[in-house]
Amino acid sequence: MKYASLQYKMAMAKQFRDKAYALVSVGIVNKQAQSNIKMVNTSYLSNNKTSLRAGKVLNTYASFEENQTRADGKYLFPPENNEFLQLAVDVGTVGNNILGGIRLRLNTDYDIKGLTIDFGKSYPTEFTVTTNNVTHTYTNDAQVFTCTDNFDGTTYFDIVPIHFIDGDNKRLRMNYILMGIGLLFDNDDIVDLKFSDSVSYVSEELPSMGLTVKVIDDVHLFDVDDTSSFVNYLIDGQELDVSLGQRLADGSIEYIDMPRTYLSNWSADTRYMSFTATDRFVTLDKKYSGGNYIHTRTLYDDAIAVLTDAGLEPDEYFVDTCLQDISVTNPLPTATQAECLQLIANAGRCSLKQRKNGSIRLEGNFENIIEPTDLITYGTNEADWSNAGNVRFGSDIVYADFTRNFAPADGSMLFIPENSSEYLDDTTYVSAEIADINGDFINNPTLTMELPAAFTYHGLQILFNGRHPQSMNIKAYYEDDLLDDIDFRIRDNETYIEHSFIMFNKLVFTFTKGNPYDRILVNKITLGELTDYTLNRDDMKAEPLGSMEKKVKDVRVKVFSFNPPSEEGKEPEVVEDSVYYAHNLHSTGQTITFENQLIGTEAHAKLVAEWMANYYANVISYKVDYRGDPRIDASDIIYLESKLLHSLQVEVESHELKFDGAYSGTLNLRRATNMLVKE
Amino acid sequence: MARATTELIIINGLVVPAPDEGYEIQNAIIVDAARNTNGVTVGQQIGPDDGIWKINNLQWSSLTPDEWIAIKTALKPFYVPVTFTNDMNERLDLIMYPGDKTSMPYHVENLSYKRFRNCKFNLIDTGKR
Repeated sequence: MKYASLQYKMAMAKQFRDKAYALVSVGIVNKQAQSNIKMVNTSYLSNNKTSLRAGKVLNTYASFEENQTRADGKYLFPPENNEFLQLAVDVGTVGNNILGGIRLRLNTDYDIKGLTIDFGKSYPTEFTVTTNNVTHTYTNDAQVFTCTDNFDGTTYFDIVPIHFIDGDNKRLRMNYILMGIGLLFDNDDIVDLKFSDSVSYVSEELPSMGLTVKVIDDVHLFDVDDTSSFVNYLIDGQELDVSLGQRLADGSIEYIDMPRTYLSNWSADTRYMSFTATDRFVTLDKKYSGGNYIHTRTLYDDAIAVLTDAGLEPDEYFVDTCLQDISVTNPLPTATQAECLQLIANAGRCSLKQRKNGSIRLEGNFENIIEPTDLITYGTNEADWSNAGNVRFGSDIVYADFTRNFAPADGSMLFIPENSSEYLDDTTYVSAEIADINGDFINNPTLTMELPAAFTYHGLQILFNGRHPQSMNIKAYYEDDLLDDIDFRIRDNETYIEHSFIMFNKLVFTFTKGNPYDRILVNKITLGELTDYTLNRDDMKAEPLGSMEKKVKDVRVKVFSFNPPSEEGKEPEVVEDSVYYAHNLHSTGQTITFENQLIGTEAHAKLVAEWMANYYANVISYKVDYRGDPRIDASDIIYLESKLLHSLQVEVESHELKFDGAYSGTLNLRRATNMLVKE
Repeated sequence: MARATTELIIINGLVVPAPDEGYEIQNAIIVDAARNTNGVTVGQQIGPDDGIWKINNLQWSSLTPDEWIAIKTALKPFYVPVTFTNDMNERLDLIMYPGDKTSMPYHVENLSYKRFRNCKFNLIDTGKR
């Protein structure tokens, strides 16, 4: 589930939704920056809006500048009478002064990779680009200028010409400006768009993603017969990014970035251009043979080796560290990099998926709900009678303390034993540190909670004993990467934190302000919901179409054995011994047999068989046509409103989202597992 | 004799003669709508916030050839800027396109028409803002 603000969720839940928006870029474009450009120092004869879109500038006004009044019928006279001024809409941006600069002002700071400017026929041969951080001087020999420089933290660009190709006594003109390198389409261009996403929950097959976009091409920008056509710049595998937006109550637009897709096909007729793009797994089609020998390693090692072989940088993938716990000896077969990843994901009980920016993720998928016993909690600087580990469960045992306002004579507290050896083990977290008169600590007390794998939780609840602290900070980490750093004010002893913590495995709670002369006492911390999304009947366009697969009697997983290769240079030889581990589900039904040659021990086969059995235990699926929401990803767990069942949890097996000015979608859902498999 | 011009409607820079009374100004908000499983209409707005405008039944009972040809020339690019006063008495600048253009030749002289009657067309908003 992609992150969205509360305002966005409210906007999508409205009976009459505001306008929806789509931005599609081919290449590397900062779409947010592109949609927030304001131009300064431009002539009143400019149409600054037109020059933000490719191929929309078709006319130029004649003016008394050098080489700007050719009598070739290609220039328009500017309107004489301002009273009925009807400026041509298809002209570009023109500077205000001879050799003067044009400022592109952004609404906030953006990191922008590269810049593309179509200057038109009178292009500058030398010019400077100055931002709030850097100044570059460029020499240029073409109408369309591109550079790949990084413009980090940029709030404005000043583009100032020094020399022009056809005389310096003129103003700067720009027909197209792009914050990046590539092409950008928006609502005015897009006829329709369809995004499909499908993930196998137990990694039985490769995930798939597809995108088709149809854009208007009334100026024949993509004419295949034209040698200068944009079609010539399209390359198979080029990155294609889609952001889908929704207007919020305050009039702003919140964009959700869809997973990156890769251009696979394109076609144009005289009016429309269609793009088709696929997922990154399609591009991982090279054979990988680096693991095809008998050796002991973890599945994590295998995954990193395959991803590295595929040329992915560490910031382009996520491999759950839970795979470090699974050692294997059997060879990884020689197969495409994508197929190898699928086998690793299946053997490691992970789901394999592609997300934002094209990153590939292997996420542990063997537990849906964490039991308190799965968590590790510890504090710093605890009082002698503190037991931070118990905040997982909560406790009624609270020792009375001589800090201020903390010893009510209501029988709810125990006296602290005089002898520390008699302290009960059932207390929860108590800080050793006591706040000063202002409620400040010399060293802020902290409490850390670690999870066995990366999880997403929406919200969490904290119960305090005594007087609750005034403020705290929560940091969420995955391993050592800081994901969230948020300050909260605390208003009650029972505090609910309304925040979505995405794919983290460690939370650090720091209590930044307490009460004068008080300790911090945390009774219990409870993680919130796996999902904050409920597919309501209000959002469904038709009753869900339910279907039931055949019951599964047994799930069998083969235990593979290998002999070393008989000759050097050959592959290890599989031993045909037909050893299977079977997990029984029902007395009747079909038998599912699964073969993954990475599984070489009965214990490993048992883990995988139970995991798959957990999936096959539920055979009820639903197909739902609904109003559409770009937040939803395949493999998400959501709630489905049902007339019969309360809080019905379902997994999204596939999602098809359409945009034609409004959203609509189809979800294929499967009842989520209710029998959880534990190691 | 040419008709009096008015700035009421300006098409592609051409101040056109005052049309006959009876033209209509239509305004529609475009909504993608469906009924949900509770039978309630749910929808999403499409297109510009002020809706799509249409000027129906623009008609001139009599125009000289120069006037009618000037109007048709102004409409030639198909998508043309149009300035007009809407039914909120606001001046709007929109990109519009014409429907079918119809005229009735009235008086012929030396293979040329000397006057047209009932010249008419509609103007439809492209929605582009």
